[in-house]
Amino acid sequence: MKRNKITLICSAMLMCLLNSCLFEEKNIFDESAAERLNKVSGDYTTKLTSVENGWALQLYPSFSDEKLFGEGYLLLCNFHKDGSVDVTMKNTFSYNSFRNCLSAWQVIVDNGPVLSFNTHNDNIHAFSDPNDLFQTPDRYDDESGRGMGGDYEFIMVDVPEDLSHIMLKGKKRGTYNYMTPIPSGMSYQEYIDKVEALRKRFFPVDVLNDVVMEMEGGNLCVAKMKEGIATVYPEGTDSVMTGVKMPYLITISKDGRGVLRFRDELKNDAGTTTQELILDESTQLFHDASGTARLVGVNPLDFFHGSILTTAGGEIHNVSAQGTTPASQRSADFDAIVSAVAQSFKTKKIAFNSFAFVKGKEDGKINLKIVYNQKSYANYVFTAFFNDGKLTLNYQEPLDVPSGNILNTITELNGLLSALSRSFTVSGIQNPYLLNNLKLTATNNANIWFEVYRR
Amino acid sequence: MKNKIYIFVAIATMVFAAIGTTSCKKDDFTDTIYDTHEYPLDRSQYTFPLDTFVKANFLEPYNLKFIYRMEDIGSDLQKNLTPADYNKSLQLAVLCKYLWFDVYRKHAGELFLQRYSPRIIHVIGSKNLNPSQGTETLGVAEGGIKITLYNVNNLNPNDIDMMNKYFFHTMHHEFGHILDQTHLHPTAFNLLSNGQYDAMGWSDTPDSVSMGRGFVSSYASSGTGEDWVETLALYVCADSIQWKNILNTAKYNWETVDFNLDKLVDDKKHGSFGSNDADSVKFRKYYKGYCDIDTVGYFKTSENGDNKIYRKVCKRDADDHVMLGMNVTPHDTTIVKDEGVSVDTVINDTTYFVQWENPSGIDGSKVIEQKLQMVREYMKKNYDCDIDSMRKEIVSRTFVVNEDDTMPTRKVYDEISWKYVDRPINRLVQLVGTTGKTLMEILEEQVTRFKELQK
Repeated sequence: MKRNKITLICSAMLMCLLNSCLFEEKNIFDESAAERLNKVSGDYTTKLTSVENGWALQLYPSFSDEKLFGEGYLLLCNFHKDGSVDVTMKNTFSYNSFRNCLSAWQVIVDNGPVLSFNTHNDNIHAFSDPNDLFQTPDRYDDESGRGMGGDYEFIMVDVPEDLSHIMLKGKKRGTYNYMTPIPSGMSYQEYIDKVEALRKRFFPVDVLNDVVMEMEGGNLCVAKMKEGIATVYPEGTDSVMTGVKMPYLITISKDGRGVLRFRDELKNDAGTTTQELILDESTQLFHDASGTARLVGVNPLDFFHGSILTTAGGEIHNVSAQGTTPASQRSADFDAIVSAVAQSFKTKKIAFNSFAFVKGKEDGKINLKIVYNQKSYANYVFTAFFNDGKLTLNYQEPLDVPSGNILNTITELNGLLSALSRSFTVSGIQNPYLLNNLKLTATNNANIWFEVYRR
Repeated sequence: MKNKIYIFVAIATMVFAAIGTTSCKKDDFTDTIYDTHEYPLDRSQYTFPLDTFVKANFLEPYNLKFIYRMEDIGSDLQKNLTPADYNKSLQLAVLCKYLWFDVYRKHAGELFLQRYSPRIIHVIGSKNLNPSQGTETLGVAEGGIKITLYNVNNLNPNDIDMMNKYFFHTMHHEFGHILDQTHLHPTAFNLLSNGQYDAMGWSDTPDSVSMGRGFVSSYASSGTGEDWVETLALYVCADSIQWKNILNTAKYNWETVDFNLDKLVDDKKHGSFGSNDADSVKFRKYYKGYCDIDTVGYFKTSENGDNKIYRKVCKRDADDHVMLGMNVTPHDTTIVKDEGVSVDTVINDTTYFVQWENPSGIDGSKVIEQKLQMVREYMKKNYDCDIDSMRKEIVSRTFVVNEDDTMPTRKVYDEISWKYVDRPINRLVQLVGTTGKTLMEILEEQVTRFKELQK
């Protein structure tokens, strides 16, 4: 009986708990999800077409580390109200020519609002066509069915009201692709030319040095910027062990300044992050808008030191004019010294070509290599100290007997050896990121300076 | 008594709880959460002309949605695919109407299309490659409702063979599947090539070899369903020369043999005889002209890289050289000798011929004819459709046909047989009357004329 009562009461309580009508949820939104999506789709369509001169899309087809596949590509897109889009680019897929293609576009409702280039465009779809790539002949037919593996549909994840940017996310590959407005009045040819000029100016294909991201809490080394995919690693660590591949692109901001943006955020061990840097023409440096990071070149003195002493066979030359090759720059006073040497060689019917700094046989020593008749050399040993921000050279002796004989014959060489036996500051010439050419200036005489370049 | 009270309370509780578990608020079934408004086509849109054409010629008469703006969600998500070009889609749309829908409407009736035509045609720009099998999917038919066509971006009205292979043949092929899914083809058909089907190895089998076994193509040999629709599709698309060639090829047995690439003779016309492995048949052909390239064979590399030769089966010696049969025909003649003396004598005329063999006992051409007859009867019985008149219609729309039903031809070099072969003349690129326009241009005007509505 007691058991029956308990069972009855429990059943009654259970039944009451199943009662659902009193606590029905109120609608949070006034409209259904479908209606809201359609509305956003219309809104984003309007926003895309409202930027007068179109958008610069920084397209990253994939997360690959490999050249070509992992690089970023700049596409300029002008979305028209009639549902057509002009896409312009200049890269390997357009055979390095400026190419424009017209096709249709739409903001469709899919995984949220999705920007879809849904009729074929030779430019945008070059990164998603499943064809074998002509750029990889050593991998013939390997890409058939896959191609570059990129996207042509992008989820619009961030579209702020001020239209300062739009963030797109590849629908299949998941890479984030940033779009910024193109400055009004600037033609697409002009835009691309400006970007190329910045790239050539700061990170040309023949640049020899790396750069450094100075950040609060610890610097990051940034190597191989010239390849379009940099290797980033904490300063003082091994790039092989800790390096990550990070592609980047250069664009032009609304006010015409150069902008460098990495595909992903860079973060140091202290947690400081940076991703986008703006060029300050007065300093020729890229810096973060927040001021917590800036990209600088490596120390020219360290680069000079490393080039000679750590790079096998590295030589740093100052040349005299030969054929179409102009002479390296020298101050008037220094040029007089070098010219005297050249003249002296000439009287012996020998052509003086250049002098260079090369690695010495012992630690702490470098050799001054005099090049004459193109392939003949005389070497003179200097001690070299790299400290206090300067290079201090002191002539010791000829490296070998033949060099001594040359010195005895070309006595003006003593003037050159003496002129070089002093302290020099080492600085870059073109800009902080490009140290292919360096300038050595005597610390005790500003009129003694000369330029060198690494061969 | 007490028990009765408890039972009463329990039942009452359950009843009230049951009422309470149902929602007490009325659900609103009036408005849908989806936007169901039918919007008129926007004349300002770039794609208005083609949108209007497909609406007027496919959607409204047949409830068929011709989707040329690729819908990723409706495509093969396992593959990398890209959309069709707008202008190519335009061309395909007009050709679908001209060579498919208009033909079926004329020969099978409007009701037939309304009932059985697909509800969706989805066109994709890129190829659908199957790299691991070395094959390509030309088209897909799904559930009797949807047909997907690939490689639209390579559509070329100048190349009828290409268009047949990728589009028209594929359309009829996929449509054949839809018809088959509605009324199953006769099971007796499946017995005609019983034991000959090869679902895995068909892609490595040359068409000729399959024809010799009684299939119209190698893909037909992959299964009974494909055999059925391939027979229909190939027949209605093939001109009389092509069909005759198929039957001719099918009369012979063919074989595939291994071949050492190092022994391959380079000269395409007659073969050079520097190599002592040159086929003796070629040798005889050069001197006697009796031999057939089919005995030498055609070169094909299989997916796994093996080099194969496929050739007609004939009598060969132990060295794999063709053993020719010989006909000796004596005839009387008179020879005038020196000094004007005539002598009656007998001269032997010797002709050589290849001795074809049929080890399988299959006459492929007869099997194909039997299959075709079944297709013919099926279409007539189930759909009241005469495929011979339909074929005639398709051929006359595709190729130039004289008033007496003969087809003028032109010589085209065939890369496979190393011969010039007769091919009918592509009507689509011929000028029409005094219009100064080609047929293709006139067809395209069915779409472009809607641009007038945009002004």
